[in-house]
Amino acid sequence: MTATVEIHSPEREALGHLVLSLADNKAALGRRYGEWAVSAPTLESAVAAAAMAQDELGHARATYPLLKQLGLEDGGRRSEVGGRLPILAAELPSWPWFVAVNFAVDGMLSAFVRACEESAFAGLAQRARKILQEERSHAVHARAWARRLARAEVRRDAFAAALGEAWWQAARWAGPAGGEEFAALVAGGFVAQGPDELRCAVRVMIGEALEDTGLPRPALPEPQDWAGWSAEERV
Amino acid sequence: MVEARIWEALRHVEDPEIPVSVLGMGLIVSVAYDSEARRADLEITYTAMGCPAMDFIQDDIREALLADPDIDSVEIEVVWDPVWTKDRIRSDARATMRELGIAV
Repeated sequence: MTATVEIHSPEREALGHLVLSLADNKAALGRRYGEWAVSAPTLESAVAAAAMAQDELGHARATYPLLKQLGLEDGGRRSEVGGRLPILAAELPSWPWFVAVNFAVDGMLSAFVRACEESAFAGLAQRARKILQEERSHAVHARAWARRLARAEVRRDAFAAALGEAWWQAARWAGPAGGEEFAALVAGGFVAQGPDELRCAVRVMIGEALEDTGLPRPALPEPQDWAGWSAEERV
Repeated sequence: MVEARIWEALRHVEDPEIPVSVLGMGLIVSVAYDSEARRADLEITYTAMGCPAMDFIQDDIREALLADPDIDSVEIEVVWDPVWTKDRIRSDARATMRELGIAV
């Protein structure tokens, strides 16, 4: 019953890159979250990690078929095959890294999904609303734990370092400002915001959450060097 | 006629996690019957995108509908619009869930 939708080049390929990377990174997030389902610092967080893992795997599973709707390959893919950010390539080394990824990487993917809520690509818009419904609890978890770690003197530095790395990769995921890829998608009504706006949204979210915690305001710089960046790998 | 029987059959397909029908849970978005193809076409949604019971539920729906002598095949499309919320739970299912101690 699912039909291929009429979206032409270059928007079709640009959407394909973003949709595939979104799905791959969500599949990888699910895997990384799941690894903490028995080892988080509190039982409540272990349960939350399991629940978030299940959500992310569901988001990936629901997102891959969009590729088929776009007339692209990999519509039958169910788990990531390498197209995820390097920070998600292996088990997260400590709980501060988990929280940093939850905060910055999950936050960036959600910012992108939010920008697709009214997408001209109906299948993406429909999924976006459901994903955002489920991501609310992820954002609450990230914010609460980020504030907790930022206030804890012993783990503050580890968290700040992890957040810096997670931001660096998440910020690059959105791509270069003024890039042709997003310009075409924004003009076509497929995505409401470009890379700069996505980074700004995540930067504001992180800044507000860490206010009054004692952690010096993180720099969260704008990526400058785009040499080697590709729309497929997004890093 | 067949469409009415489909709805009735769905009243007896239970969510594997809660003893409430898929109809009561508000998972069924639309039902249609193609008499020429003798096919039931369903749109269903789930409470969560990561629902681990998706395949079980779809298998149970197929089994229930294929028992109908006028249905040869069942097509199920998972849709995410409308977004499932607790508002989709039917009042009789709500009562059952409250009896089980599930807050709705």
